[in-house]
Amino acid sequence: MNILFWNTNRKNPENITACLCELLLENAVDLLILAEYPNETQALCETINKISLTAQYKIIPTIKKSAPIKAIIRAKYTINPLQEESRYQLVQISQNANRLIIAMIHGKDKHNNDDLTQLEIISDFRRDIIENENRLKCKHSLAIGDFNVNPFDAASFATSGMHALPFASLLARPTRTVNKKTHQKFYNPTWQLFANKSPPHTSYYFDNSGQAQNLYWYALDQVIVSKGLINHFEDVKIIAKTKNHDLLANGKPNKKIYSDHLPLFCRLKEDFI
Amino acid sequence: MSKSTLWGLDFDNSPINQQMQTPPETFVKDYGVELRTITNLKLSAEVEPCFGLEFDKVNPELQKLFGLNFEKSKTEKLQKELGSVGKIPDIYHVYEFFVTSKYIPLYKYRIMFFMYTPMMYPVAIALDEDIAQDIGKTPKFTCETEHEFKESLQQIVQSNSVKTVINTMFGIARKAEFENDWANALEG
Repeated sequence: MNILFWNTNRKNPENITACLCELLLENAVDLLILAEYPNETQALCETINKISLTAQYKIIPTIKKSAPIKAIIRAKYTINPLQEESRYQLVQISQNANRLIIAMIHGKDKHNNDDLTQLEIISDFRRDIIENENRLKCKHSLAIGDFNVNPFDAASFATSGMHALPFASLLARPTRTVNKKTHQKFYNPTWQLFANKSPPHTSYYFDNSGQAQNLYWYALDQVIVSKGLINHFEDVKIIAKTKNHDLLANGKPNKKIYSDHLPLFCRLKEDFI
Repeated sequence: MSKSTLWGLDFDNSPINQQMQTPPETFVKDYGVELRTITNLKLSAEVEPCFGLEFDKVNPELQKLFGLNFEKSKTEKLQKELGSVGKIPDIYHVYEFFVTSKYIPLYKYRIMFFMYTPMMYPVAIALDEDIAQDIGKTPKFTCETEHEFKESLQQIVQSNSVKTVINTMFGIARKAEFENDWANALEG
């Protein structure tokens, strides 16, 4: 299963839609998840379904009208909405006997919110993922989205946040006890992006000129998986171009024409779902 | 007429019984019963204790969820008065209040978490941001009295966000019942 997440920004709706069609078809995307997408996903679905000869898509329905995320998926999958909160939503995707919990988030941004506020949302997000895993007896969860924090921020790796660690081997022991409380671990493959030799490195660029701490490239968009999914997880990468659309300008995200974020792509093994 | 007991006590008519407060979940359950009735069993509002979350006094999750210190509230005051003999157990009752429908399998719309100590009041409430915004409150707040709790509960349940979701769920449930196909009703 190929999954693509993109914070499209709201500023360039026409360019984004044209680009999305190519992104989907060129990368054989099964599940497309969008944050800040200004257009109707129904229209996007119809456009893609007209172009595509093989794949047919449908929207992932939401019950709350103010859902933070919009998503479309190949029509072959069965969708069960599980939960919708103001910053995230969870759905179950199934095909035949295989099930997967997809948890999609658009966290609060760093400019207007302090670390604790960001942590709180992510902490709730993690709690609800685990609660739904237990409720559905499904240990295959994939969390994806614009977390608005980096993998190295406490909200990502601390026990009070996502508790998502960069080393899959650490999940041989699935929990860790701190202050007499047991915390479930997650695996964060987004860390792999930091080792890329050439751009695009991660999904977001910010030049904090003149400051001592300036990393330039940040991984605010992340994919995180539960232990049960580690062996089914294949690949994570940033996509910076399609046949007719270059999402970079001077080696940075071209936010004038597209978005200040780049799309995050990941793949689960085909035989899984 | 008062009952005669070996203890010489009549709990049924004692003043303490008259002053006893109703557990907060009792009021919440009333909303559940009514939702089932007015939707002709299409929707159900449940109140469930959160057993999965091991809440205790020092639990950081509890602090995060409700963002407050109960130790500094009435419990502590009473504890001081009682001293070590009448130690109050560190038990926190935490409940989740949510709406479901058999026509939308697996979906759960959480209205709120609420929590209280053996003192029952104050009750701490944790809400989704949208609902909090509708009723002009922060997502985490405390109701000091039973009256305050009942008033807040009504505001929450009658907020635009909750009404909109319940209306949508009802629409889907009605369509699904008619078409006998929840997936189609949801997507349509």
